[in-house]
Amino acid sequence: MLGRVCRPSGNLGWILSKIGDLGPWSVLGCLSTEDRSLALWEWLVRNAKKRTHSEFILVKSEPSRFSDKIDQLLAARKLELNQLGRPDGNVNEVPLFSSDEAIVNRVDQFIERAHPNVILDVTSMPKRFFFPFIHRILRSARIQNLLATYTSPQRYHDGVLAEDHKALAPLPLFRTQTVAAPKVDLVIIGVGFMPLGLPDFLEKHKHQVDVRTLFPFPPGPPAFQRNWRFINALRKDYPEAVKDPVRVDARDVSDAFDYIKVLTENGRLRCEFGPFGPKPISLAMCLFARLTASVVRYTQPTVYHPEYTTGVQKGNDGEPAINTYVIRIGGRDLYSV
Amino acid sequence: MDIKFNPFNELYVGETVSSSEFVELFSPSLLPVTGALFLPGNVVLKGVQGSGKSMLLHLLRPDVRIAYERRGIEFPLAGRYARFIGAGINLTTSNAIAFGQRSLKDWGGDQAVPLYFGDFINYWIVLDLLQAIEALRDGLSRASVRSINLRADSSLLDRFAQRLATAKCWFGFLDGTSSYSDLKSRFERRLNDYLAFINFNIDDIPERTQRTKTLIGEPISQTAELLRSVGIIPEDVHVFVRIDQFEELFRLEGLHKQYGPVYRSVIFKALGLRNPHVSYRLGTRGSAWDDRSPMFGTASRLERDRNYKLIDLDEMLRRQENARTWIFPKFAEDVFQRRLRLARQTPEPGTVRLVRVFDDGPTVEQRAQTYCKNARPESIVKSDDDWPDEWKKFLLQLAASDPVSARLGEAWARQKDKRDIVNRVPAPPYPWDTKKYWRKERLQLALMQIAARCSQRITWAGRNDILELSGGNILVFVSLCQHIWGAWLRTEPEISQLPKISYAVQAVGIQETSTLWYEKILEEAGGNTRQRFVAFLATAMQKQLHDDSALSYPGHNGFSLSVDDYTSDERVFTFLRDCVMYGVLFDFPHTTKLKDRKPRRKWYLNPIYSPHFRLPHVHTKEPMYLRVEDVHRWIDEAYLHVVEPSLAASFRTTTGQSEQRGLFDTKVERS
Repeated sequence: MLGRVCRPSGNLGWILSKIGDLGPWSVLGCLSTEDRSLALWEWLVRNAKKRTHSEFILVKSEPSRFSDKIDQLLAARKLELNQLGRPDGNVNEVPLFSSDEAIVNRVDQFIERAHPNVILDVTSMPKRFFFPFIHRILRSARIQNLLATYTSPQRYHDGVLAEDHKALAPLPLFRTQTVAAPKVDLVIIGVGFMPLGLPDFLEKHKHQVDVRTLFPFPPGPPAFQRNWRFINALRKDYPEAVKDPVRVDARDVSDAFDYIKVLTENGRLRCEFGPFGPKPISLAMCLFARLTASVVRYTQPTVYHPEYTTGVQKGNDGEPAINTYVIRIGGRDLYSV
Repeated sequence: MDIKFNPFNELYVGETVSSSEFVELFSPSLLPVTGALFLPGNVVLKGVQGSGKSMLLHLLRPDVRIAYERRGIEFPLAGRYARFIGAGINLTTSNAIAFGQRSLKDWGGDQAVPLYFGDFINYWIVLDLLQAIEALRDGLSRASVRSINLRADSSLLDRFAQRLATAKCWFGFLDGTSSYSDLKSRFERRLNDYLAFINFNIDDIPERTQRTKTLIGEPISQTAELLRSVGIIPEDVHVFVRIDQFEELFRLEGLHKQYGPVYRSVIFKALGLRNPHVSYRLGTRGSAWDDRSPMFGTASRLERDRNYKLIDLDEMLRRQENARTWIFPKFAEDVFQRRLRLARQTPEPGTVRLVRVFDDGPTVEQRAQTYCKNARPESIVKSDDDWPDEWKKFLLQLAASDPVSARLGEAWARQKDKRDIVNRVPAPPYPWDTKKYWRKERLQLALMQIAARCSQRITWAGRNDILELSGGNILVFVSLCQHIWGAWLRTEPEISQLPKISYAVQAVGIQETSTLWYEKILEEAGGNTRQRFVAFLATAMQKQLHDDSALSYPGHNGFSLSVDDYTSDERVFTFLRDCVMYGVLFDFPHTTKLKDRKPRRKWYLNPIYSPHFRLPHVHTKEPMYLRVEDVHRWIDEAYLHVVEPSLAASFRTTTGQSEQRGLFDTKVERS
């Protein structure tokens, strides 16, 4: 930690106890078919934490073979939310392929009504939403304190998790910023479970840039098998990227952010991101890309398995594993280059 | 010479190899049939991924021309075909298609979106054209610059900039431009304003930009004209403008979708200008070209051969009925030799031909013998209980010596009007062997069934199979070579000379490639559903062909629809169009045999999937005649991922073939 800024992270209860009573919190979360999508809200209610203007988005995916099951699980989840007490900002349905403007308006409206203390729960939130949400929230001087939370699941679905991805495209607000942008030196890929469209993405950068991978470590079974399958998809064409993956703790945003700083020589090298890995690593990419106006490309799936994950991981104390990252405290951004 | 290195490891030649490697790998085989691409006049270049489209368009890029000179290799185009300067835009990476992601506060509101889209393209392309001139000036030798009469000294460029700024097409935006560098920075500023707007970094497009939107194509034309009139480029040098990723306009998502047809109409408008100084080159995937929408701001439509020429690489490279006009083998041969040469595996160019390494391929009889090596005759032919013993005995004896003839004889006896043969065993030559076309049309299906009856997997090997499985796609061809070579490297402990690879080893490599390409369906957008569709269709076809004991429907590895029917059904039209666009299905015009004489179209699976599904890849006889409702149900199944279903009961193909069985009369395996 010496010489570095302290970026607190840990379980939600511990973080809140350390940062003291800052007043009520506005929560922006995402209600989904996953059990863990309500873990944060349930914890706040159960621990009688003060809340003010809060809202959930409910991302409507396109009709698929899972539609009936999704409707069924969502109905159960809404019932659960009603029992806990709905947020005053309610649950707002948004199409998965909302325009950039609709996504920005959604978060801008939240910011307008929110308390200066905000918790953004990225647990079940597609990257297409949480990347621009982070971008806009950090742009607002009104928001003085920002925590990002990510709840670990008990288990992942064994089969295919997501399907029918769209063509590779930049995430909203993370497009090319200038016409004369310097050549990209480096592509950083977060290793995940499903390399949807990734080989084609990298093929276009072949011979032009270095490719580096951020490998969640230690992955633990059964995730490691999927992570290595992901790596195998790159093995033939990118032996260097595969030979020397950068191991990062899958839940340590600060560590991932620092590794990215090292890889890019503190932002000197121009870099593009492919956030295919765990949400905390994607969050680190998001924070870095925002600061350096880097492009983030992703192949957005059109269909997610309704039981992408089930259950909520519990800590030794029996409390849900709600990983919490302090992004801004007292108006000061803790992630910078 | 390093024989152990696989010369086919690098699959792509196009935007993915460096310019210096490109000049070594580029095959000029397609140039004689794509000459229009390098002459004035708009050209639409159609082709699936791997058809060679990017490779050809790459020749228009200045850095490639420079790379040729630096490597001391002659530029493959000469004379009037080489008198051009290329510039371009990629609609995706430039963010041109991101207009519409944000509402406009302009007077026209969102109706102004196509105007901004066109304006963005204009500025982008003119800037790229200026950069192309600078690249050629700085990258080519002085002699080459002189030979193309390119003059781009700074004083001339400054004069050019001052004059260009006064052109009316800019509506005053460039007023006061003092120099060439000032001109470029104004261009960059305007484009950066657009990008800032798209990224929500500014609240609105600057007012000055709002008031000076240009008309699509006009600034590009005027710039090209002025470049000539001030003498920067000579009169006979033409400006080619590449527009890449046109097919993305069919795939715009969500709320943005409405702009796809509008954006296309803007591009059409540029093509409709028919400017003598500028020609457009549109690269697009096969079926993503549809010129039926009007040009922007008019009711007129583009006319092929008047407004543009169409080069359809897929049609050109896929095997036609007349094999002599098929140009793909020559292309593949050239690519094969170049790969070996680059890997320093041949001492001389052109000395190692495909056939030297792969041979032509086994004959039908050799294949059958391989499948039947350990099989008893009773496995090869199946007799009906009521057939006379003499006929049964005859078939078994024939199966022992000539399994193919025996299997055809069995089928002959099962066909309507031919059943009487069982009562009078013929002497050789047998009618099923002498009826040339009857035999030819059924050979592949017979082989497939013989292999299955002998519990063997049908195999593919030899030059001819490799070329046919490639389906006219050079990427598939290189991929096949890569895996066959890889299988050979794994099996040969001592390697000292160029190989002659055995059929058995080739079969292994081909099987691997087929499975890989089936898996690669997932890599492209929307691939899961298409992959399920392929699995469902192929499994069902395989089952039906396997059960066709009379060999009556050897063409049922394809299906046909009336053009009226499928074009009027948006869901089926879009799904099949996407399948063709991504190279999962191949489509062809189909000459109907029905009395209504309605034009029809037929579809087949990409032949590279054939080994994976053990389906014959040869297209013969009549495909299945279907109704659009039948394809609807297939698509439903692909979305729902239910393969043994309702469909079996509800699906009957009908039109005209009274004896044609339903595709799913029998239960099929879940994929």
